[in-house]
Amino acid sequence: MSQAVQTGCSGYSRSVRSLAAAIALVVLFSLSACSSGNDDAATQAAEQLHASLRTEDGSAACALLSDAVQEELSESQGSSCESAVMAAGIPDSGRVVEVKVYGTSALVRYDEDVVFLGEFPDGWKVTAAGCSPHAGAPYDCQVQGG
Amino acid sequence: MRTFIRNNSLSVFFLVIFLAALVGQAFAGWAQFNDQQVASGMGEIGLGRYLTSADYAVDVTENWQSEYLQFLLYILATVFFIQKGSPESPTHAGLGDDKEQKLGRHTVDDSPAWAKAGGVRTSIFSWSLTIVMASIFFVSWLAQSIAGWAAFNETRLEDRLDPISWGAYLTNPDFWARTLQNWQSEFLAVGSMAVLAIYLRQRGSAESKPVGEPHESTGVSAG
Repeated sequence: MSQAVQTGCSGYSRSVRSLAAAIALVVLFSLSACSSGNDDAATQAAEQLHASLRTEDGSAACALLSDAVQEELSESQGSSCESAVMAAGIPDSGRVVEVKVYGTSALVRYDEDVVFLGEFPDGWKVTAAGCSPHAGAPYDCQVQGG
Repeated sequence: MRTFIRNNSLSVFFLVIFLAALVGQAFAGWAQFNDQQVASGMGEIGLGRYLTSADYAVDVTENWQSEYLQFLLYILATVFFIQKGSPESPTHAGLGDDKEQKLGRHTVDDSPAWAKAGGVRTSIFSWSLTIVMASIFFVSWLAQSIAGWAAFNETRLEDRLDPISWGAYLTNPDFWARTLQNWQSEFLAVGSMAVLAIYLRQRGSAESKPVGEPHESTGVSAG
């Protein structure tokens, strides 16, 4: 009889421990899904874009743009991406005031600019830049794609 | 080992098909996610990255919470409500007395230790199934809200919109559409089973009355 009691009790404790472990796993699962260590990488890509524009290195600036943005720029301005990006009117950035990263998308807000980025197999690329807010609508951007 | 599997074949069966479905969902969800990424001019991701993504997490947890809510409500509703003729229904509503519940002086030699212990431990054990199912439901729902918030903001950034706070997401239609579309289907399924089992049978199933049992019999299962 005492053995049956012991077995029942330890079995119940094991179940409780298993449940606690499962709950912890679910919470960790969801937290890992919404956190990322990509803030720095996204910010770095946005910083490099502004640095390239300051040094008038259109080629380097284009390399930081997503394919869709490069195509849109060339088509809309009827010139090469290198020329079009320099003429697009992306404002000088100022300092970074906010970085938001969710999964494969990011926003880097500057004093004078807002840059949107996406994560691609070869790193973070700018998907829109020179953006200004429109209440209740998507940001209006000097360069954007898609 | 063979004896263990035979004695636990119901649990093992569901564990195996659960894992198979979870893996299938991972591959299908990954392909769908990358299709959407390409369509919106964004980059594709690898399977490993998708498995830790908010997109996969919200799709998994939104179903988990609704399933556990379904069974939680079924466990509780069958304490307080009756469906005459249903094998899942008690014959009379309520928590039952000590004799029915094999408590107090009615415990038997191999009753669980916490059933014999009395006091707080027996009170907790008497509600342990509800406590555990409710805990899993609330944790899954919390996880859905966090992962859903992250996935929702990922899409907003793709659309060049500002992200919203977790608190704002809790009142957002996306959260409630995901939640309620699951709840309605679970409530329909469990409610219809309670009613259909009055008139229909599955020979050998513990969820059904014996085939020859009268339609009017309540709380009788073939198991």
